[in-house]
Amino acid sequence: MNVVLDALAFSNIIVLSSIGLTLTYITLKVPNFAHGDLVTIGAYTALAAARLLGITPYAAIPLAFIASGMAALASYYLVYRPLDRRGAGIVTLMIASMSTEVILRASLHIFADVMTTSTKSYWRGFLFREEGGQLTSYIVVSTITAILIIISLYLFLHRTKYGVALRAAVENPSLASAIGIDVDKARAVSWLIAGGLAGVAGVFMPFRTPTDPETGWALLLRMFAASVLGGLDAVFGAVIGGYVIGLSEVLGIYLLSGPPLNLSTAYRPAIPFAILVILLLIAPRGLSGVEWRRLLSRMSRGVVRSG
Amino acid sequence: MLLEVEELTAGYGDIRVIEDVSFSLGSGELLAVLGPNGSGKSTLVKAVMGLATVHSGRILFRGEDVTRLKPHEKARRGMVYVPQMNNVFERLTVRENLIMAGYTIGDELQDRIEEVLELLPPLRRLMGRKAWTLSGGERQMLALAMALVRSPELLILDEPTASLAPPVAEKIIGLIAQIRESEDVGIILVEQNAKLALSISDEALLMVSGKQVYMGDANKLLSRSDLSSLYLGVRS
Repeated sequence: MNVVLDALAFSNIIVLSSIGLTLTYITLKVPNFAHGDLVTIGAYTALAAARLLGITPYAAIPLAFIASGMAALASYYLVYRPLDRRGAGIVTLMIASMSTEVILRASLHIFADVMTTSTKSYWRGFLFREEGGQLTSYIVVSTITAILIIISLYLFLHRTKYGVALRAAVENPSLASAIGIDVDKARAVSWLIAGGLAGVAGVFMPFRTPTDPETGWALLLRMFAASVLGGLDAVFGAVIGGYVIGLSEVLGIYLLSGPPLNLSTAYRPAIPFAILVILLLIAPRGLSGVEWRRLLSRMSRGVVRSG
Repeated sequence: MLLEVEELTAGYGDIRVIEDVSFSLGSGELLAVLGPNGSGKSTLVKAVMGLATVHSGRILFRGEDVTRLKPHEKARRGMVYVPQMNNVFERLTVRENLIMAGYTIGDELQDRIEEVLELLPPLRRLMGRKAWTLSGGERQMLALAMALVRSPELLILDEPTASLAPPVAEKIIGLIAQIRESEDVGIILVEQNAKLALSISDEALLMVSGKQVYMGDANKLLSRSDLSSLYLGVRS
């Protein structure tokens, strides 16, 4: 039971961060390599709020949303938007994204060192400790937060005029602009939301893993895997992708490291990627690209025939 | 005058595609922009809408200089552009597309959508469908409806019959003629099918290699055998 709950908590972190990664990919058609660092910024915001303001990490969720959201917004306005306006191609934007990642991660290292010196406490490898049994509160809170965010985001993007405009602007910027939508503003809002969600994911990370400036970067490949698996052009595909990747990694390692196989855990990162490759061979456009109705109807016809 | 274009030179970045193009259009008039492939027809209307780089010249809309305005600012003044490709939001439903088209309209949006659906009734049964599931003709009809929802003063249609089967193309041109009758709107119609376009136009602008070679009465262009047979594939 513990391992299932741990897998769920890990998946919540991957889901929250992957939604944002997909959202930024849709806006500029370039993978944001700095997205993992936005998760780390969320974790450090929660740590700073807990140590300096004396509030619980959960109460710091809005602060983490704002901090990571503003960092994402700054990177959009300072790096990606000017390059995009100058007609930069995908490769240029990708290199810029990698450079932004290195700058953000280096800044986090500097921040951790400065805070360690000035507060005389250690700001690396930190954990948020909780008392309790197998159903620790962070699993409950992260699950409820993930569910609430997914529902709110869905309602915002599908039931509000501005949300639909945002979808329109990221899908077809020139048409959106021609009908009076301020595409630049819509893109900025997308980056703010994407960064904010990464920040929220970051708050939950130190409950589970010792966190330092490298932790978000180390998670990035899992986020990419979740986004690709869900379908890079489908925001809510990242939800399914995130749960598949998160659950498969934690449950996979549990099953393979126990009897009768007793394998070591060194292969851990390979599990979700093996599953990703297998699923992409079956559904090359990701899970959101599968025509589920047609598939289910074929399967039901097959069952009827075989019956 | 609704639209005045004066000695417009435009293109993409530093590249100049059209040079010294001038024309004007009044409310309720229909201007056909014709010419062979690569003549600069689409670049001309994109430049008018602010989607291509203007190097020199002026664009006046209802007397206001709009040459340097952004596309969304022009859209808010009543200039509506329907591109040849990607003219609907594929991942949105027909209903969402119509709502988005009226993004800048306030409370009267629903009434306006109803009026447009009365003009284009086949769309009514497609309201819940995602745009990517529509046929080519249905998509063009949706693109036209999206343009009309905004009660345009100037409607710019960039090759609305491209890649459509001839009967569907004729139906779309018929709808454009119907729109012209029922709405007080100036229309610029960029078309490959010259005969079809000229049949509903007041005036015609013929472009060849980025230059304007004819501007005037649509019927007279058909009688100019030197131009119509050479550049429009029309035999008089």
